[in-house]
Amino acid sequence: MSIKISGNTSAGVKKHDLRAQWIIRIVLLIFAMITIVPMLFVILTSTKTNSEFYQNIWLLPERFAWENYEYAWNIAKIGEYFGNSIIIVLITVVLTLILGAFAGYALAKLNVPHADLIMLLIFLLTMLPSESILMPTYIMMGKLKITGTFASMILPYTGWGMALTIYIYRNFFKTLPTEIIEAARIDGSSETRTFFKIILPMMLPATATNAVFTFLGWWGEMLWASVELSTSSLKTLPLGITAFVQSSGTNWGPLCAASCIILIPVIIFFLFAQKYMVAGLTGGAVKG
Amino acid sequence: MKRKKSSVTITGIIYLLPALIFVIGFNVIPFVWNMILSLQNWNGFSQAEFVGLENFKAVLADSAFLHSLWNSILYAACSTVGGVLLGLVLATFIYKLGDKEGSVFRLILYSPAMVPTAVVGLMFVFFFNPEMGLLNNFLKIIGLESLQHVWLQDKATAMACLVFVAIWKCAGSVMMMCFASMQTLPPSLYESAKLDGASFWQQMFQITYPLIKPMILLSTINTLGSQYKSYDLIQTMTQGGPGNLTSTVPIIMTKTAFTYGKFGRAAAQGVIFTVIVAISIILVRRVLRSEEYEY
Repeated sequence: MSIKISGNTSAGVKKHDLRAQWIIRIVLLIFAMITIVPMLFVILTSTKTNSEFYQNIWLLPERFAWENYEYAWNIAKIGEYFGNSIIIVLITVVLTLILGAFAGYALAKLNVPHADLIMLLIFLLTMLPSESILMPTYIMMGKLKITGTFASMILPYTGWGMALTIYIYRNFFKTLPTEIIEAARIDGSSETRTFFKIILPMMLPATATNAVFTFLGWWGEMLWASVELSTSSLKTLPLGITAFVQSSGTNWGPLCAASCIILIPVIIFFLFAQKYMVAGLTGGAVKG
Repeated sequence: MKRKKSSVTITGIIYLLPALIFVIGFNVIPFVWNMILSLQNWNGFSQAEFVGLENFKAVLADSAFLHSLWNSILYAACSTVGGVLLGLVLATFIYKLGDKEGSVFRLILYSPAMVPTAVVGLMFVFFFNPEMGLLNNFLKIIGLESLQHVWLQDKATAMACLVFVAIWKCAGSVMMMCFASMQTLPPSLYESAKLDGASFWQQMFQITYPLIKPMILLSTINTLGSQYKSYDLIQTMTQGGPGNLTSTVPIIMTKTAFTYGKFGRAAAQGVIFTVIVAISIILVRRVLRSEEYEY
């Protein structure tokens, strides 16, 4: 993956080029600072007591102020919301991946008529702004008598995230040689057996990509949650944090602690799945 | 053999069906339903009555809605243009810097894309806070106190702040997509250009950018689509305020439906908004359309 361009790496390093390199480095450094400083500042503030914070916002704390986290977790109920969000998002991820994998496989390898057209139609649907499907979905949840329950979050999330999942799975399955599947067919393996015995062990990369995208997509979702759960005692993490901001405007220590709590799963995903995310971002649209 | 083939097709359809039910159930049916709803007068409880285009007339005559629509377009356009340009520049710089050093910057610059928007909102409420916020305190340190503002409550700066944050959040994924695309170009493409003494920027503008144009288009459409869904960021940062200065369509729509109970009218707002989003995407495709290159 180390592709080098421009003359700077060849034998004759020009002075001019070296200077350009430094200018680029400095510009990138400035942007990196703008990106990371607000985040670091929130992390820093979450470790300080309020009096320390009001004395000087820049200084490091004398000791790690666990009480901020305790306050956020227990009194602001961030712990409870964290649990709710985890349940909703994990079930959504599992459901989306199972249904999406079957559908993607069918559209890539199982002679479904008009597969390209079906994919295109499914994909166009994701372009619809959520605003245009919000209210009927809300009414639908009411008719199904599941308003404000876990199911009323999981089912729509699964439906809305399906297109991207199918798309990524389909692109992935298309890269697998059809010969493997045909060989299994000749050996008399049923399609389902082939899927579980041969395809399933091979689809980890696409599954990881999809898991990351589905998780991150719904972990911070707010619009549907705020509509659907407005009168429910069930709240997701983003709602909990927003409510916390509005109820305790200047209690910055616990507020920052709450933000850090919501970020922990994100950071874990980021560290473990960075390479899959890049693969997914480019979604098979780039070809070398 | 023919029978075998059709049995494969049947299995395929069975595999596809559950996912399709979800897609249709939560996208197609609500979308059609929303169209029907937009022609009705309904408060959420009583019997709905058919009113034809009344809702559309009322919505298009409503200055608060038109203001929100304009804000949505402005916000989406500014943050998309800003995010895509910035993302492309960052990708170019990282590409120029090489893989080892670039990867650190890549990691940092991509990170905002993964932070949930509610947290980004909170982070920047804090950042822009007039007394304890990072920005005003920073301005104090470098002696530019005259530039201090009550950023999110000031009419002159509120919208600009929102766009800034939107760009802050979206530039990273554009950068990642464009960079990944640049990396797939074979180095041999640049050889003759280098022999001819083309500068780095000449190489970028005449070789790299035209070749990754499909990816630029894709990330522009992606960004535009997500920037139109401006609910969470604005809801956490300004709630559409001060007054309704920074209100956007998703914000006024949820208010119309769930605060005032005018579901039909909100549905009409949704339909109009969908048309605007569709037109924007088609426009972007037109502007950025390119020939396919073989290399």
